[in-house]
Amino acid sequence: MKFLISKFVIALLFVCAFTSAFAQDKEKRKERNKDFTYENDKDKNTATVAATPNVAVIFCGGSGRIYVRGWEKNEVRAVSEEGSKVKLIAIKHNEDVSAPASQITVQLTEGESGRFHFGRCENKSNIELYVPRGASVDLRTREGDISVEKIAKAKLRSMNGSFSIRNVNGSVQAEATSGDIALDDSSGSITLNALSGSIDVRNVKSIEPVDSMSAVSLSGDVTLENTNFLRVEGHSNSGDVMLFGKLIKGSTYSLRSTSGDVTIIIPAASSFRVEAYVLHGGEIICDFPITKPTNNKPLKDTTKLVGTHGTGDSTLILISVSGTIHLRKK
Amino acid sequence: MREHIDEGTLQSYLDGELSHAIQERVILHLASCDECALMLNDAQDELEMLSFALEPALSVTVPTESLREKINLAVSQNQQIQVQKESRLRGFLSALTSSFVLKPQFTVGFAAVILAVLIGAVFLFANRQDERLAGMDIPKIDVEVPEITSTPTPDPVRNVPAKKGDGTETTTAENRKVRQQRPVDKNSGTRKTVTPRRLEGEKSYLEAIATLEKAVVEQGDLDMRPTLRAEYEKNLAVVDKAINETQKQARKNPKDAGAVQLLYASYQSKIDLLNAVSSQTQLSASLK
Repeated sequence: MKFLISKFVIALLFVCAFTSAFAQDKEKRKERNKDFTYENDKDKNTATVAATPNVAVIFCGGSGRIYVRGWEKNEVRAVSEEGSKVKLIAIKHNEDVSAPASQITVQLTEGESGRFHFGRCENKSNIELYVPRGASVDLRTREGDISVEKIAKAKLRSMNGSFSIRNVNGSVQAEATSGDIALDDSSGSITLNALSGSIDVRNVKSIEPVDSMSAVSLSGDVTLENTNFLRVEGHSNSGDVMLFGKLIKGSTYSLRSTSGDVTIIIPAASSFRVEAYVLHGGEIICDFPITKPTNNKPLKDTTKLVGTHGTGDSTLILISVSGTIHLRKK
Repeated sequence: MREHIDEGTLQSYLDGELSHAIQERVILHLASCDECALMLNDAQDELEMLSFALEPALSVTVPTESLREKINLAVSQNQQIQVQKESRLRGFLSALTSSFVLKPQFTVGFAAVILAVLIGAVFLFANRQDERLAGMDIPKIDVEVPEITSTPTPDPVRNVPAKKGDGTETTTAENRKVRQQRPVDKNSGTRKTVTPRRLEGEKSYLEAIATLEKAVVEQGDLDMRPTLRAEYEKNLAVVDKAINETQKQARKNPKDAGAVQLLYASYQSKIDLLNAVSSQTQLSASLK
């Protein structure tokens, strides 16, 4: 009898322990899920989540504008407009439920239904995202413009929107199908591609020596001003390519246009080595006296210009298949 | 000496087959001859024994004439049934074979059926051949493009002053034309065009372009608006024209670094264009 009672007690203890563990786990999961969902202010359609300084923020929009601003707080705040609601889905890489998020996905509700549909990019409202200064953003949009400022890394893609990028210090990767790209006062590796829009780059520089700058537009113009990279590429298929500003010692500037002109406007004291090629019928106009190699073609040969001005500190490779190449003094 | 009766005569005496006169002389003899009487007793004993043993066989009656008639009737009936069966089989066979007899009203039908069967067989066989060939890995054969034999490249263009009739000098450029020597096929008597040798590094560009073009085609109809598509087509025309022109220059003067650079730049432009299109298609797909 005693034996049976003791057995019953032990079994009961096991059941209680199991139930308790299950209940606690459920609570923890609830807590975690609570942190992963949005926190909604009552007055505005906002959501805020604690984040790491180098948090990665992902958003896919439809036709609304996207504004991204870096701020001093280690938080990601999303503010939506026009009656829509925003949701932040945070991912944390440790068990501590109070730890800040290292990756956040932003979602906007769809229309009047107020329901979130993960993976769809159909919202029409604008959104403002405030992220830590060291954050990186990955934004895709169908038709909206994107403005990014004061963050570390930006990866932007749009089918029919323009980009305005400022003070991004880390890396910039932008791809616009039918819009313009404007990049100012930024640093790090830069890759810009525009199908039918123009590209304007001003006051950019590298952080590491291996950083490079590449700006390619198929139909639009490419304008590069005050670029400080060891390797600069500016290409356009049917537009013009222009380079302004001081040449950096040891840098190579490769500027190419298929049917447009290539124009270089640099200080008179610049020192460079030049290789310029145009197809027969094109023209090379050079304001600088060029010292040519002994085996070079005569000066009147307008199809090729190879030589050195000054001590040849930089290298200019200029190609225009059916346009004109200009080397002008500033 | 008296003669004894032989065994045959005694057997006949017992069977009742002797004449009357001989029978009386046998009886008179048996009355006076003990030895013959003893032989007669032995013969009678044998006869009785045989009769007892053969009695069942001896009791069978010989079939009568009516029975013979019945048997004959049965046999004849049996023979008639056999004949009927054979006639049915023949009838069936004849009916069957009559279908294959070429009658005028069936000729067209037969011809159509045979033709349809033949066409179907040919079609099936052809399909099977195609499937078999499609599954085969056809090995790639690298064909070495023959080198153009041409006259040496002349000196570059130089200005040669010439005097006009009125005494003034003009500067004209003296161009030496480079004739591309074409090999003549002695057998046919016609000229052959030889594909020029590719430049160093050109192959990688062409392969990259081919790969990208194939990828763009496989992606199907691009999800671009009409204005954007027009932009793409325009750029493609520009870059293809540039490639054609620069190819001519480079092939004409393969040692001209400038011509080669222009050609490679054109190739790179096409690669940029195809990359951009491919990337745009992927972006469009991801936004759906």
